[in-house]
Amino acid sequence: MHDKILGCLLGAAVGDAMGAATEMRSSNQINEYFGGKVVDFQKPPQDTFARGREAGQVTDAFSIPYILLKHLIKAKGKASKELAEQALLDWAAHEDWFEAFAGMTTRKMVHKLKCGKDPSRSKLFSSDYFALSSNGAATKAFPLGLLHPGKVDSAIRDTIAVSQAVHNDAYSISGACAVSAAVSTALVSRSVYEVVQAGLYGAEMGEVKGREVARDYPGPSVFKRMRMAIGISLKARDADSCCKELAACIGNGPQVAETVPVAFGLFVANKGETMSALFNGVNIGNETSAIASIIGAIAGALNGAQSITAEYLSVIERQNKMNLVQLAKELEAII
Amino acid sequence: MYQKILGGLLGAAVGDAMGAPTEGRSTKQIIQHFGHAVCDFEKPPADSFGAGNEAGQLTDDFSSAYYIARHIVDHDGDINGDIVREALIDWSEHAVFFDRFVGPTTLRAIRKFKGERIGDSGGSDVATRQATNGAGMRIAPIGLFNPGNLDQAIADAVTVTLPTHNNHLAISGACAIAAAVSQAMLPDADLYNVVQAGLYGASEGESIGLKVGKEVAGASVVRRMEMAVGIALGAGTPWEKMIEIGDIIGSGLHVAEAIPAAFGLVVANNGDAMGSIICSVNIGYDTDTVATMAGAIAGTLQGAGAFPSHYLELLEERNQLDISGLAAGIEKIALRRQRG
Repeated sequence: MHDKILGCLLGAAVGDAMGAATEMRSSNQINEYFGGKVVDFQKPPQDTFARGREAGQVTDAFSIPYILLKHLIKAKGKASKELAEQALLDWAAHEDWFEAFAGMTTRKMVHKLKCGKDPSRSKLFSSDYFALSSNGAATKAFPLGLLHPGKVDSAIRDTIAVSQAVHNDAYSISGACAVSAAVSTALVSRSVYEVVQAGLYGAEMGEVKGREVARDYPGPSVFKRMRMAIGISLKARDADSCCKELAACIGNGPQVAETVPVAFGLFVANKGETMSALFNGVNIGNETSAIASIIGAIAGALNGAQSITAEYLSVIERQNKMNLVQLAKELEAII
Repeated sequence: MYQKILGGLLGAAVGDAMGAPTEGRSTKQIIQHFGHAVCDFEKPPADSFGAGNEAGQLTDDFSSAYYIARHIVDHDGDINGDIVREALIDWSEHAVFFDRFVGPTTLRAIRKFKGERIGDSGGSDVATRQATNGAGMRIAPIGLFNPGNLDQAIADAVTVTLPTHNNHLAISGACAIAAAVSQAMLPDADLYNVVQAGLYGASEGESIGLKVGKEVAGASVVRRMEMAVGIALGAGTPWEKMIEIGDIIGSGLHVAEAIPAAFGLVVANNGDAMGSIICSVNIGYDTDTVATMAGAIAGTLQGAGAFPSHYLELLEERNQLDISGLAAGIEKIALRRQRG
């Protein structure tokens, strides 16, 4: 179990840090700028969110769930909306993370939490209109899967509670539950098929329950797009052509109905193999750090830390002053 | 020809005004709020962008199209970047259309036209979010000026789009709409060749856009159009297809959602203008923009006779715009361009 937990943490961190350099560029632009595919940590270019950082440093995609996990461990695994709010405020206090990376929905919510005001329900929506349901809830959902190995429904319940702190809408919750359900299953399974089925179950349950407890935003369905993405992957000739097809048809943007389905599609296209799926996520373009981080979390939980390039653990720990081995041990002790 | 031009303008205007009250809601929320599917002009609810408007009032979608077309007519058919900038500045000074409605990409561009310094937050960090549907909402008149001449419609659509939406996906979306409307202007136009023209425009626009504009990461307009048309050609009622298009394609700000959705809804309604508009109005999210584009394509195909007879006067009176006068101005130029 230790290897699987560490694999999930490390996979999520590696995907985020490697994707930080390719973020926002198209697949062509990544090839042009880096002179080929990015398959190692690179220093982020000046025109991305992560500018000024070093190769191997993570962004919001991993740092938010990292702080959330610390809070969850302190609370002996008891997840709640309030805990998630405290964790987010704690994260926002790290200025070098908050100023550079606070996403569209997160920034608004931190401001509101600091003022002690709940977002007004009299407005139609509280997110950015460009992506009413963004990938913010999904990127920080893997810790809830880690808390409940093999117990998908408990993972879904906790994911809904945590998502409601910031991304309080049915599709954000749907995408988040897809990720946590897949991680929960990956911890006790060796089967790509079972992990994908759990992801689909999470997406469907998340959408249904999300509609009961959270806001109903218009937007494409994460569940339907996931089914489509998985279909594309199963029919693709090889992982690289699949990557192109997924980017064109599903999209690789910040909308949760693009980020999450594409992550599952690439996971399937690479038969669940951690590093090749993660590299596809890094090079698909647009929201690469979120896509690769989700892939890394799921595939890392399935295949364990040994499936990840050996020296990456020390690079991530050194560049981010994080102790992932210790974190994995603490987590193992409470589950 | 006049009937087709007026139909195209009217379709866009009807779609914009009818979609304004439903914008930002999901289909379920639209039905909850209004008690029924919206199929006539309604007053926008207090929590919507259109709050304070009366039933039949337009937003940014048709009004910006109107101003661009008006300025082109006033310049006797010239279409160039300076005229587009002049038209958009003129439009932006009409608070009733601009202040509450202007979209993120257009606002940024107009502030630049006016010489404001835009805080540069580090280069390309907003670029992927500039592939928005504003490029498509105001482009339909470019098709009206160029009956049946798809390549000229595409070239002019690129010219009109570059000042505000300088990326290959937005250009692809704009060219899809302009080419479809251009084809719909012909007497022998039918749904099949209009959709084919739209796909040709999207595809040409994408390659031209890669040459003259910025490449931007994001889903492909062409591929999503093919998917939307595929759903529309399947089994089911127009309403069922509308739900499926909303769930799979999406109907939001991104150019690869709104434009494919508009084409899908026109096909799902077999080219019927009012049916296409009503499905667009009830699909949810950026309903007024989807309805403006679907209305323009189907309205041109069917002509002004497709609309209830009191709509023209109602829209002209409520928005103080001379839509029939503009149609006459466009016709003169379209006939001249057609003669070569």
